[in-house]
Amino acid sequence: MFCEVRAVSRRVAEAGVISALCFVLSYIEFLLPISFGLPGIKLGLANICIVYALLRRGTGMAAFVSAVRVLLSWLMFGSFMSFIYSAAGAALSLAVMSLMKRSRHFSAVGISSAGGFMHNTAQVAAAITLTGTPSVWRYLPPLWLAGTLFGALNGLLAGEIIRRSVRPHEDERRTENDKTGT
Amino acid sequence: MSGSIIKKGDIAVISAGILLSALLFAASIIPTKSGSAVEISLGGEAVEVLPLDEDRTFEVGGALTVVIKNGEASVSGAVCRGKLCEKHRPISRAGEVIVCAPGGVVIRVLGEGPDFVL
Amino acid sequence: MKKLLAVLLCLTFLTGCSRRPTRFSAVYTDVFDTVTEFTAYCQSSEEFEKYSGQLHGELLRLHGIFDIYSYCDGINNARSLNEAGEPIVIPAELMEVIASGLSWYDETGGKLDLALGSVLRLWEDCREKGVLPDDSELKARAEHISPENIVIEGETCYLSDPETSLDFGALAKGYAAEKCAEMLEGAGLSDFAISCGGNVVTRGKKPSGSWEIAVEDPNGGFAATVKVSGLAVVTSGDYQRFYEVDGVRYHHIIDPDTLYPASLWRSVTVVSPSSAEADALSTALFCLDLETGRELCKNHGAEAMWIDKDGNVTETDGFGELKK
Repeated sequence: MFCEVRAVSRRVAEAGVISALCFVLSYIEFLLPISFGLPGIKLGLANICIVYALLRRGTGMAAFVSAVRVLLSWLMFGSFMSFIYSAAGAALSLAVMSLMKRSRHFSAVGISSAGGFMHNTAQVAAAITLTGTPSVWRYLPPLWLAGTLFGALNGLLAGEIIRRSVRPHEDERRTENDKTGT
Repeated sequence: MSGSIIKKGDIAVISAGILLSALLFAASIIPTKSGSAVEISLGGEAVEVLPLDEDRTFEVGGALTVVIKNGEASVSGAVCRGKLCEKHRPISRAGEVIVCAPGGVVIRVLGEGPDFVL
Repeated sequence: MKKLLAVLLCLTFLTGCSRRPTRFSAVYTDVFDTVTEFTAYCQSSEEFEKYSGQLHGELLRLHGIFDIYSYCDGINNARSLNEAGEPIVIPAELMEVIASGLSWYDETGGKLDLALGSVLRLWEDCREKGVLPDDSELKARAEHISPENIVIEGETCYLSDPETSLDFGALAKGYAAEKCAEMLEGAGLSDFAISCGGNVVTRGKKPSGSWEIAVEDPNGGFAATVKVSGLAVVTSGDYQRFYEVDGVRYHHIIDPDTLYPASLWRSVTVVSPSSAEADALSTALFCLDLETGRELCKNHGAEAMWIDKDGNVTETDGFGELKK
């Protein structure tokens, strides 16, 4: 009983920390004067946190962090349109990444790469639907390429963070958590 | 656990992403060169859509014959007096039109293009 | 896994949308001896049919007024006027276009002459026969192309010279397109475009942005594409209506001074808030040199693009800004 309560509060605390970090990364990226010439092409640094949350704590945690990020970004520095795009991107990306996690054929790199790809796919789909401009699909090739490559890079970082942050004894607790939680 | 060791699946995902981008990019630059089909309408009603990559002829309502050759559409055998449509240079770009006003025939290259061509 | 990705991809793209206006188009081939295209964004096909019906009715009405080939039931139209030897009451629309024609004549130094009818009919007859007009016949007819022969008294009008005849080819379509656009706007339609034989008038915009109008390059492809909203675009080109005699092309825009097809330009495109002005300007500019044309555009707040015999393109600064 005590154990469970501890586990829950631990999860809540962790969710808060990851969400905060995630938001900070979004903010840093917002501040960075990097432009790739096309709207929508971004490093997607925040995805590092999402991938971390997904792989270490499961879909629920990742969805929570993702939702917090999307909402906060909208409230802090987004327009409603960009919120829709970003929400669509986050949802599809998370759905695909979570499915891929189950298959065991992919590491953080592949999962994150597909996530980036899907994020941009959903953004463009949302843009086509909302603006009624089918020709927006012409933006897809560069967006896909950027999503795939930056996604892979972020995945590499996330994987490395996971590898370094997991201490042997914590690894056991993690499996325990996975059983009790969800 | 899912660490940073790159697996075969990862390579497949990244390759697929790059490949799809390249394929779609190729697809996105080809159709801008020329439209792929013409729509023929008679009196405002679309009567036929003909692909431009297939040489053939099509008679429209006894008014004229649309000729598709080498990826371009032109008109022959117009029965109207001026036969201006016959003299129009062949069309192939999205949005281009040949009009036969007396016969009420409009031949338009389909695809993403301008709303009107003057 | 790939299958799954494919399915997800499809689902994303199929996500439907609603309440966005849909694009509708209609074509009329029975007005102004040309093709008129009407494109609009409406919520339903019923709504579009309603506007399309109103537009067609108005176009037919105006066509009747400016028709020089047939009479129009119940009113004195252009043909009635051409044949009238005494003052007759003419519709306000006809009077308005005649008045504007007279002021264009003064402003363009006679390059836009609505009394050019007799000369134009001769070229028209010859075009149908595929022969060239007799030079002495052209000169004989040119004796009767002065708009001074148009006598206006109150609501009545007549031509003092029985050999004089009016032609509204350079004015009527642009005027009609403008009138129709005003009517549709008044009826509550906001996003539409009408192309009446190459006189494009636009209102509002498409969901994806401004209306895009391409101008043909006589040598192939498009010379320019302009993005406009609420503006009219008209092109006068030697490739629009022409015939050939012994391999030489003779087109339909006749210079009143030489009585032969104007040969300065291959095409002139005018963008202006008013389609009536754009129509008149494009014809006038086609017969005028670049500097005079530029001046005329400036006076009327219009932008223009000229394509000369060698395919060289010249444009006003404002025209360049309209290109995408």
